[in-house]
Amino acid sequence: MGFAVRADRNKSNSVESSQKRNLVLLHPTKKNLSSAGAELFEAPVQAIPVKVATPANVRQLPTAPRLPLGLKLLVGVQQGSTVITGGLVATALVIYSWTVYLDQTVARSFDRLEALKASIQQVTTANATLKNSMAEQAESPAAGFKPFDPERVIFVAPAPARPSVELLVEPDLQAPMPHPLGY
Amino acid sequence: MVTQSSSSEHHQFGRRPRHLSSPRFRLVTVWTGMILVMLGLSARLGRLQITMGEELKIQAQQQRQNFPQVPRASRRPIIDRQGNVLAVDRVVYTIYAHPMLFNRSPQEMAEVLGGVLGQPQNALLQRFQEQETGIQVAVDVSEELTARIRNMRLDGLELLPSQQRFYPQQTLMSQLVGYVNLEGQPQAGLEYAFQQQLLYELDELPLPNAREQLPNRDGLRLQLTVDSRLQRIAQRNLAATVRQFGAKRGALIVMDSRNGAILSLAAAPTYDPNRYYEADVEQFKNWVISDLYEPGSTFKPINVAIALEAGLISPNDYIYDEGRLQYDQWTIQNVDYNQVGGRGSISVTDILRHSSNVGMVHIMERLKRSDYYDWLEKLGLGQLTGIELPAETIAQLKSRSQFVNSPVEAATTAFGQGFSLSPIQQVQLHSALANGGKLVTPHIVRGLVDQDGNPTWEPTRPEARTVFSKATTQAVLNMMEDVVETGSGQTARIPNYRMGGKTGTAQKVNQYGEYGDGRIVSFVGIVPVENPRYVVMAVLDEPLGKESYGSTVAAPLVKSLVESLVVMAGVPPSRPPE
Repeated sequence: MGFAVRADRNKSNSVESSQKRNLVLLHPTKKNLSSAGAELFEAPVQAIPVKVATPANVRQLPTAPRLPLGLKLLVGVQQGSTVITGGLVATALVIYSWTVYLDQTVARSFDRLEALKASIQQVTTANATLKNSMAEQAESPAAGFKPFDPERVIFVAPAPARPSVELLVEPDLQAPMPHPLGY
Repeated sequence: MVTQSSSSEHHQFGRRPRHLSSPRFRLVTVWTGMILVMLGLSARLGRLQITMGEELKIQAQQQRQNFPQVPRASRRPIIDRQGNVLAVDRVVYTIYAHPMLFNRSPQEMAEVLGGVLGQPQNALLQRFQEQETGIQVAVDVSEELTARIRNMRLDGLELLPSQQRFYPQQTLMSQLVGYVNLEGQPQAGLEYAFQQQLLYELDELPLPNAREQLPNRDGLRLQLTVDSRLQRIAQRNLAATVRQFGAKRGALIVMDSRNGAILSLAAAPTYDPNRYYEADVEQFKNWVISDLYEPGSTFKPINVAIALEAGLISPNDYIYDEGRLQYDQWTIQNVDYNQVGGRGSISVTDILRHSSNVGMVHIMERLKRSDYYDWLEKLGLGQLTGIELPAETIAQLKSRSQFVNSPVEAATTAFGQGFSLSPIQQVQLHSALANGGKLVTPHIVRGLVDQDGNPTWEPTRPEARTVFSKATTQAVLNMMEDVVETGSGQTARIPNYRMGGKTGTAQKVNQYGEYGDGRIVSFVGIVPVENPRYVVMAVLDEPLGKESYGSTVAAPLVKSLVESLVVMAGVPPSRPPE
């Protein structure tokens, strides 16, 4: 709406200016103009009357209307909060994915631990079964094992604890000669 | 121109839209649409969060956290002294086949399954053709085999896991360890007595919002004091003796007298706890603990120790043995009275050596009967020994009034008849002779140990009571050594080793309450005499044959085990080899 109004106003301005230009072109030498109009157009008319059309084109470019302070503040707040929101959303996503990842990692590790414990169990069972069957095989007379008999065993009494090894005093090979020996 | 344009603007904004394409109408439409979408999304969100929230949460967790399907290992393993596994949990599978769901021909399935499971193909095929669904193909299939079958990706097979307690040593330890039934309930032995310590603690899963609790399978194991190797030798030798003499049952016990730790406790008959349902119910109790017997002559060293401790005799005293005594209608005589008759004046050592009943009666006559009864109570007769195995039976003594008022009661007790105790208590009493007079608590369990074998929990036991002095026990041990060297226990003698021992042959009370033909023979050995430590006892119930005595049946059995024991325990010969 505002834009439309501005366009209209510009339009009317251009109409006005074109009227002024016409005025100038129609009465180039006339000096008794209304005071305000004479002051405004005196110099161009006097200096270079032919090229007067060029300065007439200079006009103020349409500038954005100045916003009130309150509105500016609000815009600032909005922009700031947009940035913060973006940051928070990103952080939330990161944290969420991290928790999911962590859960998955823990669950996977837990599964592995359980699988390993199951393997321990299997290995233990297999080991114990093997031991038992070996012991049973050894018991059969065909295996050729003989029961323990103290007469066929050598009992070695543990040696008494040895005294800690004393440091041997090495003979001093570098002893200074009492007098030089000649060969 | 100007007038016209201004009038057209007025026309455009001042009136209500007439066309569907007017911006205001489009704006309102889009706005409404967006609001509706938002409302719809909110409703959906509410439904997902509030109505279906819980359900979806569980679903999500199930997808994310793959819980183990089988409640694995709910009980801790049991290990022996060396760490050999005696009981461990394992997972087994039952395989069902549903032929209607097969993706291959029944012939092909029978061929594949028969090959993997080791079953005849024809029988399998026949069963597949007889029934459409629910055919039990195999039970107790191991995890490895199940994994192979699963990897074949055969349709129409169902693999149902279940938890099972496995006893790799089979019959070896069943009388100690007991068993867990198919429902997972401990029924006998240590499995029953230590069910609290054996169960894993349930722990929360280390995952957020996990509802389930799983057993925290720490590395703790229940360690016993029993040595599997010694137990194996004991069990084998005992079984051989029981078979040879046709005995009803037997027991062979080795105990470390210093602390009461049982190194082996063999009992016959025994059963395989993996197939407990095939065993006789009678076998589930350990008769060493739960049955009583009249100890007979093996109780004589205990009586001598009482008399010595009470100061009524000295080791060098002589006692008159007339060979036969008469108490009212009761006759007490020596076993060899018919051959030898009265021995006359003999030493206390000779009384033990010849196992003289009359001599023992004369020794114990010196003790006031009420004091004698006090002594028996002081030794713990009538109380539990405190061993961990369930269903322990306390010794049966006559009532105090009967004991004090009837001379024949004290007389029969003097040679180990007229009262009964469990074999384990008899071992405990002989331990007191071996360890210098302390009444230690016999035990099988060392405690819970971690992976490195460090104990984390140990059962508390009462302090050992001192009942005899060192001098007394040493004197009795010397007499017992003479029994093995030159007396009735010579069949247990091992060259170069000093062993103290005592044979026992007791008459058994039959079903009519009278002493019948049945006898229970036993032998107790203490080794080595110079540094007494191990107590070995063999008891055999009702061995057949007229020549079945403690000296002919039980003593050789103890000898065979002690030969292994001294080698395994590293007990050097007492005397240098000849």
